[in-house]
Amino acid sequence: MNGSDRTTKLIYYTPDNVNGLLKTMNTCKSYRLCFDDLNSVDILDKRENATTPTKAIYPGYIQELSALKRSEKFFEIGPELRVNELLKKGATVLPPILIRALTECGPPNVRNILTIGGLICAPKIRNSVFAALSILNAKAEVVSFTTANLKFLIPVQQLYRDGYLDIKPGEMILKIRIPYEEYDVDYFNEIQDKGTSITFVGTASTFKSSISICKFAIGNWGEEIIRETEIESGLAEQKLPIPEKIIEGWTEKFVQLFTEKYTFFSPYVQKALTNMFTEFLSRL
Amino acid sequence: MIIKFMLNNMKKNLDADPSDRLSDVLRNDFGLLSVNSSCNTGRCGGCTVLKDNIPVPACMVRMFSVRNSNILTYEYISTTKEFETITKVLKAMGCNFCDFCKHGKMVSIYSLVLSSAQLTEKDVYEALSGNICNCTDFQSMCIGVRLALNAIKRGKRNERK
Ligand code: FES
Ligand code: FES
Repeated sequence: MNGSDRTTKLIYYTPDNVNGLLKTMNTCKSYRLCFDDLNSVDILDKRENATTPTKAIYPGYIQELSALKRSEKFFEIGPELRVNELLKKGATVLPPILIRALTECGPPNVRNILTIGGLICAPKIRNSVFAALSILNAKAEVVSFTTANLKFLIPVQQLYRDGYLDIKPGEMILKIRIPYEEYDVDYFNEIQDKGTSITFVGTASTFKSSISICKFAIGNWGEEIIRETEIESGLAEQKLPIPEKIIEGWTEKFVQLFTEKYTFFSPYVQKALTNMFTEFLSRL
Repeated sequence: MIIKFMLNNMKKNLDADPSDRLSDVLRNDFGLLSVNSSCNTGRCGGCTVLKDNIPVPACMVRMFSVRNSNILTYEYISTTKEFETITKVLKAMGCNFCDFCKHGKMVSIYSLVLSSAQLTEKDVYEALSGNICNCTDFQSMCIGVRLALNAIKRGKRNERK
């Protein structure tokens, strides 16, 4: 079904399968990818110097893009799978931190519309789910029409460069791949500030009374996901239980980040995030 | 763009702007005024309709995604037997919804009752969390919804006998 939008002169394409989608992408160098939740992202061909696309593609009718598959080492989520459907189908297999993040992304009627691809790609809403995917080492399988349908994997946090989705014209996310890994501690907390929400997610595993893996991320509405690998790897060899003094030391390091790097957070948010970080550490 | 879909179980072919919100089309092209558009961001739930039997805020649905789907609005739902039972029970529980939230809330309750075999308080709370209301006593509404489910189940069992 193709049609044009009289006001903005956009031509709409609603392909039914991946081949149709790739063919459509091949006919237009710059286009707008539309999601069910009113969000969209413009994929612009820099060589064309295009600033606004004239074509819009809605991939929601492609069945292959809304599947949840399990294999031995990971499960794969189609980007067009609705959040509520994913929660139903994956209730027993999805990592608890992802379930929590998905549940928090809206009330059930809104979750019936939101898709996992939309949550990743749409700049205004990627936040808690994106942060959770990032610490779960999720990767996006991208197919590129321009290089003979070559498929490649990109870690989700690398999908963005300088705050923009780094998907080139002719490329499409086919799956989100999440490896099976079990964590002993899951932490999720969220605060609201000036109409936006900021999320702190963390996971950790322990082995022989010391931390073996420790990961945390801060999801900030519309901004890039914050990961601090230096702190993460520093924490990874820590003996358990962590003495109060050491927690204080790490918390100080965490607080320093706000004066050195993340100055855009309001004092209220800084305080809340610091409390969350300390709470996360004390749960280990 | 011609979009084919079912509206309240009737076939429709509509020449619509694909980027229009479903809520605006339902109100302006079909005169279905039960679909209240107020926040247009999916926060209030006043525009809830059923899309393929799943409750969604119509203000967040664009026309290009309704192809081949079945949209049911309050206008249709209010003619069903189940709706009658639900309203009776809710009234008995003292739940009188205002015109701002009534339509959206009843669509959500209808879909919840019809798609569940059993309901806990948490289920009801969760299902109605997308329909903003600070004035109805949640406890009575919850009891009402659960009683309505039982009444509908009983009715169906009796019909079978
Ligand atoms: S108008 Fe649709 S949810 Fe408020
Ligand atoms: S009864 Fe309508 S908003 Fe509460």
